[in-house]
Amino acid sequence: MELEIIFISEPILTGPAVLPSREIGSVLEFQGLVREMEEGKALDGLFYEAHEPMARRILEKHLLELQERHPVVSVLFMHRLGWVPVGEASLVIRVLSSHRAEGLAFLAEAVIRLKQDVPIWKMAAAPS
Amino acid sequence: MALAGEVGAADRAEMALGFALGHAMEGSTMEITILAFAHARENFGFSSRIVTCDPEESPRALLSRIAPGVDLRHVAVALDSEYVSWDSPLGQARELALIPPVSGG
Repeated sequence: MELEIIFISEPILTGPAVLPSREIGSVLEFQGLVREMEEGKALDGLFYEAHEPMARRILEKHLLELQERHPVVSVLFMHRLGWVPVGEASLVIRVLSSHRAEGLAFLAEAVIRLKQDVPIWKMAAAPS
Repeated sequence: MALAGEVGAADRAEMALGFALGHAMEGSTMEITILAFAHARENFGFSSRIVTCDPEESPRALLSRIAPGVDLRHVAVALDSEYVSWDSPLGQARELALIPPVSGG
């Protein structure tokens, strides 16, 4: 599996998927956007921070485990850090696979695992 | 003579090893960098701090020494980017991270 994990402080721009082979039958891209309402309050955006080396290590472990159960060909995982305005993506996961079933299962479980123990945090305001 | 020489060298090596081990066990303090993220930074009052500690000391003992009274119940701890129990020894870790509940995505 090709795996790329990127933390970025600029808006996430993915562009069209580059197909690594002619056996790719499914391209899935999930974008998690910052919404205006958070716990009943209207926000302009959210501030994200991470323990980046640890987040990368734990994500790699999770995604390689998922690959064993749902074999996919390529995974691009991008998470924004710093200030992210409402309407912009804080997270993009793109999964390329031969068939849709393993791609959909991989993607769904990747998002669940991200929220379990990967050291990334969102806050209503930047730290003072 | 050759035999006596070998024994002598072995004895010296053993003495040197014994000294090194005794020295390491006797004054075994080290420095560790503590990182506090997100809400943990607010609760502990710092984002990064270097402290002197003992390899046998646990993260719980270390934090109660430098930040007495801070509630550890909702904070996980990692040594060199690996989650560990609050009561495991620090060992030779160079970094201790205080990990409040995560909220990525």
